[in-house]
Amino acid sequence: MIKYSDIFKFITYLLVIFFVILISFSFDNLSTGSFKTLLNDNLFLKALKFGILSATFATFLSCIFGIPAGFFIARSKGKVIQLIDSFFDIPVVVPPLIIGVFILNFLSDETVVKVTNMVFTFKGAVLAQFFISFPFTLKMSKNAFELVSPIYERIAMTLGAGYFKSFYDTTFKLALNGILSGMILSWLRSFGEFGATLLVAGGIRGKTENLPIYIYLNMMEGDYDKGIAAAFLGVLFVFVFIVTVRFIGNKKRGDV
Amino acid sequence: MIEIGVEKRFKKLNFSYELKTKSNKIVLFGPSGAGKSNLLKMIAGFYPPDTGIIKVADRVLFDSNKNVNLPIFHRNIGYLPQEYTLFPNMTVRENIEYAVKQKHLKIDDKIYSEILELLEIKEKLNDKPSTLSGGQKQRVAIARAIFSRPDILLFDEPFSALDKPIKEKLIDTLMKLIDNLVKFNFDSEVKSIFVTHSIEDAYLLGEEIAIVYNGKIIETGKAKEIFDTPQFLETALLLNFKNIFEINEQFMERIPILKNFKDKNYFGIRPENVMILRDDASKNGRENLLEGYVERIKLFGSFAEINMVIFKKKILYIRLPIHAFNKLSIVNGKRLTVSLKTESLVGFRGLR
Repeated sequence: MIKYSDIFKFITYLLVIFFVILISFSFDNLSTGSFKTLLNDNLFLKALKFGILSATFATFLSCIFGIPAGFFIARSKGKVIQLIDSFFDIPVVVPPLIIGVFILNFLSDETVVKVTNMVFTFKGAVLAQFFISFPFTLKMSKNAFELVSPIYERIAMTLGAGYFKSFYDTTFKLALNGILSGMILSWLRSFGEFGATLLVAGGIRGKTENLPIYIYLNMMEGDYDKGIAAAFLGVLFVFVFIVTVRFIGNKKRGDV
Repeated sequence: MIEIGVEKRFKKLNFSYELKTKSNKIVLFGPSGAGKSNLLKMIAGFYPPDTGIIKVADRVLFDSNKNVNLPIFHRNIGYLPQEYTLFPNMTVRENIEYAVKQKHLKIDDKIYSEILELLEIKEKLNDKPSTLSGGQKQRVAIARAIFSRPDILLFDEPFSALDKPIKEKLIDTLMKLIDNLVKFNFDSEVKSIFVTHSIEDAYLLGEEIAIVYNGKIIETGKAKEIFDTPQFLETALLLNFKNIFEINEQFMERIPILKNFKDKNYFGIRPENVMILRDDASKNGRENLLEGYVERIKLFGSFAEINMVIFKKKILYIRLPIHAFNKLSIVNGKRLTVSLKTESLVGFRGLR
């Protein structure tokens, strides 16, 4: 008798193998030389810096808006709230390019331009990435908050803690792992963002290109070696990042 | 002094509570859903009443006329609900000392360790709550509440999830602790309100009992008074009087004293106060005799309970110690004569 768990295990490993094969086919085009030229390429370093910075700012904005909104939705009931909750799914399910179109249209409006000109700038890239990635922080925070009973906050208040302190010491800290996972997803989504960022920030070489845009522009210009090497570094970077964060997360969870 | 007079409307039920007492240990007793917890939550400030006043130890916590509604953290209360509420992200020590830090209190080391010893949690200070048993969790929660130096402790059936022996021991410890808080140099006597739907707990916990029924406090009094002579039918039912009958002609014929029960429509007697007459005993001079036959016998180890059918198929419950039962050779169907002691008869009024 084959147990269903064995079948599931087989499928999981099959998926890993597919993925490794997929990536390994690009190895042909790789040489240590291409990594060297990449690391000496000023444009690559600029794109990396641009990507990391814009993703970090976008994640920062996601926290400012996503965590409170996630808390509010988690603690509220009713049809309106459900509607709002679904509304925030839009950026996840709609192609980023379309979100980019909306943002570009908004930013190009005469009145908006009078206040601030964000088209083809770093700020524009941050805004685009924020809209694409904040639902991850929001949803994960919401899920985490839902798992924490409101009684802890009340008890903390009976023990003398004020409104914010009681929230911070109990609900927030108990939900922190979930919130952090959301922030990491938001950051990675922003770092890998292509469509909306390209549209809003313009993908100007050396100025408003992040890693995916750098790869795209190089491939378009026929510089396959650099493109593929950059793609490899990107995958490696993200993989190391996730593993490290998971490791720290597990260690922390261990003491609770 | 505790003074409460509040009203709160919900969709399905209106609550209105009146309670004024100088007692330091009050039990709110009533069936599930009667609104006991609601009252406790309003005292704690979890939500406000619609109108009224809540005063504890001369401090006004809520007054709708003067627009007073103190936030939870200014009410100086300790609250222990049924569920376990230790902060899972903190150690036992951090939990216990949470209020000490928030309120910048100073606690004498000797008192600190005495209380922890009494609660038997001194060895657990560095553990996380997840490693504790249910009883230990509630002991820590008690310590945490007490070190916040509350004016009043609110207990919302905190022991109902525990096994009976553990629960009884914990209640003993708690009562000892509360009685000794003055000795421990805490400034003033700490008041406590317990919510329970268990009669045994109500006996153990309170000096004063308030009976909560359908969103109202229907009667209040010293524990013994209420248990022995409740005023209302509903209270008698809650207190498991078991033998409760409407006062009618047939009963007044057999129990003449019932004619004196003015403005009462019901009377009752606890099963242990019903006396069975031996077969050879003379009926002369015996008061309030009822005749019938045994329908069912239930043995409970230390006592026996007999269902006796009296007139019109009404059932009278009789309870007697097992040694007395054994001497009487009672079997199903046997005819019995019982006497109801006049001083054990209690008259009740229906609420409406």
